[in-house]
Amino acid sequence: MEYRWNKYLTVKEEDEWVTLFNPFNYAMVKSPKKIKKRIDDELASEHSNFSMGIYKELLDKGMIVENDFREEQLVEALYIQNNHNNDVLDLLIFLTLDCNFACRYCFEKHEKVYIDEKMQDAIIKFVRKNIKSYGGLQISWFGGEPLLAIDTIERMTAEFKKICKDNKKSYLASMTTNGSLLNYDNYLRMKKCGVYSYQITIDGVKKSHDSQRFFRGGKGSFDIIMKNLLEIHKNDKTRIMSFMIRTNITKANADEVDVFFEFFDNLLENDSRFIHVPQVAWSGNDADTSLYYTEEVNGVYEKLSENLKRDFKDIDKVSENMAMVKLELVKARMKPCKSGKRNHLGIMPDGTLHMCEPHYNEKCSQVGYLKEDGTTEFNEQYIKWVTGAKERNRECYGCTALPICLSAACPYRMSIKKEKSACENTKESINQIISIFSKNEGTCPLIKEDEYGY
Amino acid sequence: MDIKEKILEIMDENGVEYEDGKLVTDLESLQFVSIMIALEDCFEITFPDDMIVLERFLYIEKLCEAVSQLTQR
Repeated sequence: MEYRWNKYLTVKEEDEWVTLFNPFNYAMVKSPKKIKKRIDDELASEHSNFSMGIYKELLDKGMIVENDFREEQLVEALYIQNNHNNDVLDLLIFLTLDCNFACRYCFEKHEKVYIDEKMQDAIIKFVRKNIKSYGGLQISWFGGEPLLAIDTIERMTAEFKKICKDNKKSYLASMTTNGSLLNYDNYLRMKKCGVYSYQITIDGVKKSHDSQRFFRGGKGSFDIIMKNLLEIHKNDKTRIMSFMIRTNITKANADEVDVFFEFFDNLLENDSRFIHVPQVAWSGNDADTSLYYTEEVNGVYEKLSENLKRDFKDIDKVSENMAMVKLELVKARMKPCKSGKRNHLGIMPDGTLHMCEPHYNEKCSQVGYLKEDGTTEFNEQYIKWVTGAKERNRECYGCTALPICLSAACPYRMSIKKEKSACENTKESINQIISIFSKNEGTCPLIKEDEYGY
Repeated sequence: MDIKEKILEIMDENGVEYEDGKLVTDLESLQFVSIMIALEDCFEITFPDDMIVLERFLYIEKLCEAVSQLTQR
């Protein structure tokens, strides 16, 4: 049997060491360079001693594979498993287009449109008809500002929970909110509704945030959001909650991101439920000079990686088990965007179905509509979203990010707009994962020189 | 209703089954989080970080023990 290295390994060299990362399973090993070199030589020759333990370990981790192994078939299997599974019915519900903010960059029009009872009932009927085919129900409340329709959330949740209970399915919800109405009372109401995960945007320190994200009357929103989050931090000890704090990075606030992270972490006493998610705001044109050009994005992410490492600053000190748990959390965050998944649908207040929130008002994202009886009708766009990644660009093959991105990291850019590459974020994340998790033997075992007869 | 009975009811509502006290369902992350939230709500407890692991769910008796300890805190 002849063997070779897995084609998709990332190999990172540092001083006398080399770290290998397999993107198919996030397995890592760290070895002295000379051992790696010796394995290279043995794989090239026909006299390899594959009975040696080191090969068994590398084979088990999928780093060395049989010569006729086809990595691309594994990519296809992963793609089907990820994008065509029925583990959960995942609905994103636009409760309203209305919002109490008037953010400088917002893509929404904020019409005073709210989901009416007829459409609420249509969604409930849709869930009742379809839940049996899925493992559970996950609702993402979206808007506008979803907390402006808090009574509707409670009404619909009661129905969803009842359907799930009758069908022995799990129910969970998440919410994208601007945070201004998430006072402690509302937070507890939402907790009763199974909302366990939030995305809230804070665009840096008070001055930058308030210049981007303000109330309709122009008043800044930083203080009220921080007050709400601080109250939750102090009063609710549930560890299962998670708060993704998104920060849009522009040329205007890039230099002070560090200051904001430090301020935020100190105020919330490094509460690990609050996770920073910096997002580089980019544009290919000159419309807004504070946005980065597409070709600048990679560089900004590289600079940011040092900041991101703060979430894992003790990784070399935590137990091997805890490091593995943390890596699992990172893996969950690396999954391709749900806008290309067959179990995902966005529903507008008027029943229009779409696949991608930021582009919901573009024709290409509108894939059909929900009828009053809870049945759906899809148009020809739908198939592009859910199968587009199968017609991936040739450049994807051989890209070390493919087993993670599956050409579906951003279906809007990859399948719909047919951009050549949209995987900068995934590539940079792989670098971060290696750099962070190679420091703990639980996630990155060390191959020592005298082991295995070397 | 005692702790074990209530826990088994929550498990059942989430489609999770035990046989001879051992978990026999492949637990999905959605089920895991949903059950943790339901247990916290039902028993008015908070699971500390080191208890939020799948192993806690493998045996119903161990889970009952953990919940019972937390209710006494």
